[in-house]
Amino acid sequence: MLKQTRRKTAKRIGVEKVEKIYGFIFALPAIVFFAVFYFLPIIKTLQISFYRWDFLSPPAFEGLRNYVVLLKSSEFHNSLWKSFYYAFGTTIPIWFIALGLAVLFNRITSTSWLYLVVYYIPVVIPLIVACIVWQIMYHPSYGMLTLITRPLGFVDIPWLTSSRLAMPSIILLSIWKGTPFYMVIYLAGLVSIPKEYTEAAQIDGANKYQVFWHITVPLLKPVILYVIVISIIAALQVFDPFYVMTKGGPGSATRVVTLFVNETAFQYLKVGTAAAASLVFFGLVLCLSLVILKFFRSSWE
Amino acid sequence: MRRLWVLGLFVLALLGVAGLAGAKTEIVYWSHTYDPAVSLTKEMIAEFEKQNPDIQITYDHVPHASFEPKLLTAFAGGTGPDVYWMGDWVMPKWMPSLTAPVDYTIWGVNSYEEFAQLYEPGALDAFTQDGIIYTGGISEYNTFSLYYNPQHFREAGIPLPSATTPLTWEEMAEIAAKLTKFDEKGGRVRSGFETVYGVPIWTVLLLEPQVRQLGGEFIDETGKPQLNHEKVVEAMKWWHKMRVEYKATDPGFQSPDLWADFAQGRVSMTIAGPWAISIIRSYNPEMEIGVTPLPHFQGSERVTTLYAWAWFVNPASQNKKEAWKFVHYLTSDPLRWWERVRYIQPKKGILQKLLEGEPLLATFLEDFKYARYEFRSPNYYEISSILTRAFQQVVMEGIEPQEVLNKAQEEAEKL
Repeated sequence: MLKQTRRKTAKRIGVEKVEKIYGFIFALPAIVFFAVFYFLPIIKTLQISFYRWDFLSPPAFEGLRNYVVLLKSSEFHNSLWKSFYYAFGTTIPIWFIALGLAVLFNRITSTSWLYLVVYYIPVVIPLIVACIVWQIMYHPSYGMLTLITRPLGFVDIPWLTSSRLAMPSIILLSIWKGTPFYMVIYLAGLVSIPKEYTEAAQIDGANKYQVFWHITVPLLKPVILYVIVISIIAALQVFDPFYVMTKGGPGSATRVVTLFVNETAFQYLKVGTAAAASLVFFGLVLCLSLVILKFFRSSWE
Repeated sequence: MRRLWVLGLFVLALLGVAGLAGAKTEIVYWSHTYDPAVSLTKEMIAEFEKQNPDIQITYDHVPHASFEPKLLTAFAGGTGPDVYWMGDWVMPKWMPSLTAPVDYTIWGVNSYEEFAQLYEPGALDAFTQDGIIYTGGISEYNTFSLYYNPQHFREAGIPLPSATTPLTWEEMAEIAAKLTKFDEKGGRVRSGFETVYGVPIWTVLLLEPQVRQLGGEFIDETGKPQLNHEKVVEAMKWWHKMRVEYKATDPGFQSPDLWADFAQGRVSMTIAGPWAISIIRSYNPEMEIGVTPLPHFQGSERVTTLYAWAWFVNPASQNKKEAWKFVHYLTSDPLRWWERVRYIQPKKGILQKLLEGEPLLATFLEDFKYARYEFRSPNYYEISSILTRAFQQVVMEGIEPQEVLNKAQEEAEKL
């Protein structure tokens, strides 16, 4: 009996080992991919950030100089502020609008799927195309928005050429473009909530709002957390609308970190400074993500 | 058996010789995408390869905005092209590490001085360092003049400006104000003048001649930026006046394509090089185009802008001789480049010939006489970017020039 048990245990351990090896083999392509295309570039960027390098001559070690330069650079500070302004200006409305729309679409009828498909179109449109279309829509004299603004008495609104309006204008485009994507994620979360919970609450006398706040939202917390973290990270990485629509202007009104890094590396040929800026930004985004995760987890637990 | 071995070796040797005989020298050539230029380049490559069966040209072109980063990253990775073209403003940084001295013997001359003689006086200055010339020839030689829509002038009862005598900036501003139109609600329907307001190189090309006309410079003799110099402020005040007082320009009014705005009558005047003629005509073949020299300030010296693109050979190329041979072919027919692409190659004696097919060119030739290359600085891009941010605040938001230029100078001093 004992022998049989030992044999079974040994067999189980052997199977587990084989499974682990298979698991590793299956994961290997992904591990190699991440190592080569994510991890190694980060290490290389870290290395470059300690050098003065202009692409044209061999890199020269200069310690922390690039970081000191950034510390003193008002343009870098400004770009950090613009990036976070854009990220929160875009994502906070998206969290609420996307959730609201997902709740609406969750009441599935035969036609709401059609609306869903139509509403999802902005996600499918390439960002560059969307930027050009919105740039034309924002034209102060013959843009589509003048159909709304002119009857209200507003003429020649400088959507993209005023420091005060340029960033909100790009934020508006980003909300339009990003909301449907996060709506679908919310919708997937909503669909997975068992109907029995909401039905039980309704039988106990809970109204629609009570069901939403006390049943739906708590069960949707992991999805909400995912949307918050992912949307902020994605918004902080945005480059195209700023490059296409304003080139960072007017002045530095829309000069986000991604533009700053691009210009510093490929126009000013200060690759080390650009690498240091990328890493500082990476560190800030990482810290922010951890703080958000910690905050939401502790408050929800 | 031994015989078989010998036979085998003989066959292999024969194959090797045949392979060597058929091997071609590959020359990689990169440019940015400009459809008329790309099409002519492809034609010329086919002709060159026919004449030189031992050379094969591999041509690649990328959009203008990504051309420079592509070149730089390729050079950094040791995979730069053998031949490429580039603008003169990068020369202080790129010369000589990314540009090989020209092999003038291919052009049949015996010295750099003789090579320079092939071009208009001073044309190769931007590509010369310590007497050595680092280009095989200029692909595009440009100055800026003032384009106008004669129909708008006639409608407003304004006499057409001269093709050879410039307006003053003050006169031009007044005309621009008269040509600007607003609708009954005060919305702009036509701008008297628009130009490119957000591109650093353009900012220099627009502002620098004005500053020089007034006797100033963006950088002093030691290379230090002086962006809040009184002459820079004075020049910038003209743009401020155009925007705030005359309301003759509004960067927000432009569509993403300024040349289409001009060709379709939404803009009455603009500033550009001779290359713009073909672009404007492509939008509106029937349009009557007027060109007058770049304006100057009342009583000031006449100074216009000058910039050029040129062909270079990578100093790391293993086949420089063949590369220069190819550049020689590209520079061998300036008239064809003008007819097909509207690019001027300033070979000596060629400019007058170009005039025959394009009367509008007379004005540009006049402006070439007063043209000076942009300032030389290894920090060209940073200075021009700082200047552009200041320029945008003046023309887009009407902020006082002195205020923004003081901030710009503060920033430039940190370089």
